[in-house]
Amino acid sequence: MRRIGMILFCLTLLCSCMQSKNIDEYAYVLNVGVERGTTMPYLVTLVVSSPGGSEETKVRNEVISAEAMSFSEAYETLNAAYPSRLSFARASLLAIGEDLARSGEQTEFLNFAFGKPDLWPNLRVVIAKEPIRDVFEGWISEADPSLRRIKTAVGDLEKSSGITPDTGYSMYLEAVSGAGFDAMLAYAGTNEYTLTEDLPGGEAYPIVGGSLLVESLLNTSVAGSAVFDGDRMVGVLDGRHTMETLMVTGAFRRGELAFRLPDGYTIRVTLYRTHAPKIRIDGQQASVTVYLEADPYAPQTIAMESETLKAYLEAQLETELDAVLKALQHVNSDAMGFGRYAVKRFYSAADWEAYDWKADYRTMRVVFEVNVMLSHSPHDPETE
Amino acid sequence: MNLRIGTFGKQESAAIVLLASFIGGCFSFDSRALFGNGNASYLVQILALIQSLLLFEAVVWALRVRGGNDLSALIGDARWKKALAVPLILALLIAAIQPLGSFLVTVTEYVFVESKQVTVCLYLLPSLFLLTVLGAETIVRTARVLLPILLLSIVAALLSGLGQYRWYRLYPIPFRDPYGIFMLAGSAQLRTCAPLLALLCIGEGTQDRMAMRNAGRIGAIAGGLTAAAALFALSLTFPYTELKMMPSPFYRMLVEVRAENPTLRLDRAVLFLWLGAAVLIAAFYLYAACVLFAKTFGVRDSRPPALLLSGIAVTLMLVLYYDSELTVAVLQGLYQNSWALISVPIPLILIRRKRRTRTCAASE
Repeated sequence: MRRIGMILFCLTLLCSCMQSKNIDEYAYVLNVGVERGTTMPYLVTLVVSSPGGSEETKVRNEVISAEAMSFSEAYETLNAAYPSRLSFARASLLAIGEDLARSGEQTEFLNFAFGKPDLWPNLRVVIAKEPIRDVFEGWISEADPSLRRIKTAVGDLEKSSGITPDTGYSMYLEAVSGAGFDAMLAYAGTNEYTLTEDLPGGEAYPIVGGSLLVESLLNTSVAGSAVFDGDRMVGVLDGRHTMETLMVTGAFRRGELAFRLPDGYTIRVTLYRTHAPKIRIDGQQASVTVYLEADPYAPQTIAMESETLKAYLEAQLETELDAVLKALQHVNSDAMGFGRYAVKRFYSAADWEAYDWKADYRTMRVVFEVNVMLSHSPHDPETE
Repeated sequence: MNLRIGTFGKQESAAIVLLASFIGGCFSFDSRALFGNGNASYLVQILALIQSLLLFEAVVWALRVRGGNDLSALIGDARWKKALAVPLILALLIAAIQPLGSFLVTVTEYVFVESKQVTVCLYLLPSLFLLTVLGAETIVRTARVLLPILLLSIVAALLSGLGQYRWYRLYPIPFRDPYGIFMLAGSAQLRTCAPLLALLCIGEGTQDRMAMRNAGRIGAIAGGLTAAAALFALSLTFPYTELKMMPSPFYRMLVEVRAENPTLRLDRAVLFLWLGAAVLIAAFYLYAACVLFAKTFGVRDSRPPALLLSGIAVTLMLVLYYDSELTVAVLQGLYQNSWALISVPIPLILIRRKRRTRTCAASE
């Protein structure tokens, strides 16, 4: 009797063998894209990695798409029309078409996409300037069969150059849910040399995804950021202005900027964050202090005193930060995240929810103070 | 009597209380109530822990004064002993199904998406019944074995989310409504008090009263503070606006990890480890309820009530965690009011029934 009992008990442990599927039966979705459709409201585009391809890679990446009313409808349609079963277990990038993002409809559409088919909001998000099929095809290369390069590049760009934000969809959802800031997402496009104007303007050649003067194996580039007001995209910041916005949010680590000196000479300076920024909000007034270390390129060629250069860099950055903030205030986007500090004054969720933070933000006066510490002194003409 | 309590040491007793306090603190709350008015979940957990420790100390003090090893000794001395035991048994039953129900929803929503809750429950029932029948010694010794790996999984889970923590998510802290925080702590009392109540029910196996008291203190404080730390980490990961609508926040915390993070595939392993712990804890509560039932109602064997309570627990779990308006309302009512099942009977149990003296009886 005991033996029979033990055998029956062991049988219950074999539950995972029932309806099991071989790993080869799956095709793994690497990238997910959603944009406006032509016949149906939405067009869902997927990059699928399935067995096959060349002798070296053993996998091939294909771009497939379906128009549908909802994400689950698109998933079912594509699943039925594809020879393997689609799995989202390896998906790590979500692209949203700019047209859809500007309408703000993507949040509701994507809310029903997460959870069930093993798709999670830990995906990186980019806003696609051009049709998503073109953007995805621009990333496919024999040299990078897992499309890993472009995903790590977004993270690396935020850390090493600051020209694009590395934002996950969960962070976007948090921004939309009224957590006290607006989303800022990476901006991607194919290198067609069509200029994208950024919000503050002023740059002859804005560093923006899809507007880069690049000839490379990968035809799609990521740079700059798309800024949001709630769930609606309201504009684009180029790489420089994205970097300056990240200096205020605290996400900036390191980046390089060019400054034109009063004598017309242009210097390149690598900036490092030394401390987290300090932000204080008192009613309609706010003060922001940013701490940076500046390492000028070829300091011996700069004909300026250390103190003068330091003051000049600080003044330049303060002016530019002010211009970026004014542009963001104009489109009602709190991408710098002042609301995260405003919420600290509240001791009840009801009071915070009743308070219209954005109304105060639009007219808020902010004083920027940039503290620059030079790591190398420039050539001092007076000491010669 | 065949109650199968056995004998176990302080480490085992502390381990089961610690596990139960952690699982209860992290997986037995109603998100809407806890995060509905801001985020003070970690403070609520600590306040509830203090309230529960006070009740526990009061019971241990009464046991020392009157000379007894477990709660049934006090119940035997109280007036309306059966009426007082029933709410405690119900409290243990509810404490058993709350974390299991929460895991049931997580597993069917996110892991076995094509399975129904009833199918998953069929796998839970035999293990729950088997553990409850085997008795206290099996349960607490298994808890002792499981504890290190579970603590490791908690540390790994908290560390994996390190990159996602943001301080501003802690705000607004609802200090304007301290009464609300105290009320939440009151309603959280079942999840912090149930481990100590269950330990008091099986106190006979803990060798002596002092060992039980020390194990209860160590387990409840360590488990309660670990749960408070985990809730604090959760508060740093998600804002209250999302948490109040999130069905399985701790599982969501595990899957927030980015693709390049080495702990990416940790979620399923940790989930099933925690599910195993939840089954063990449910068995612990059900077994404690069986012992209380058997001692109060004079049943000489713990196995028939074990079968009965396991069946009731799984059935209730299926009914209550079926997503409908009625069950959601009932479940919310249970989460908010089940504290009364412990906090009302325990003080009454501490009041000793007046015994008639022989002289009085003779004069009558």
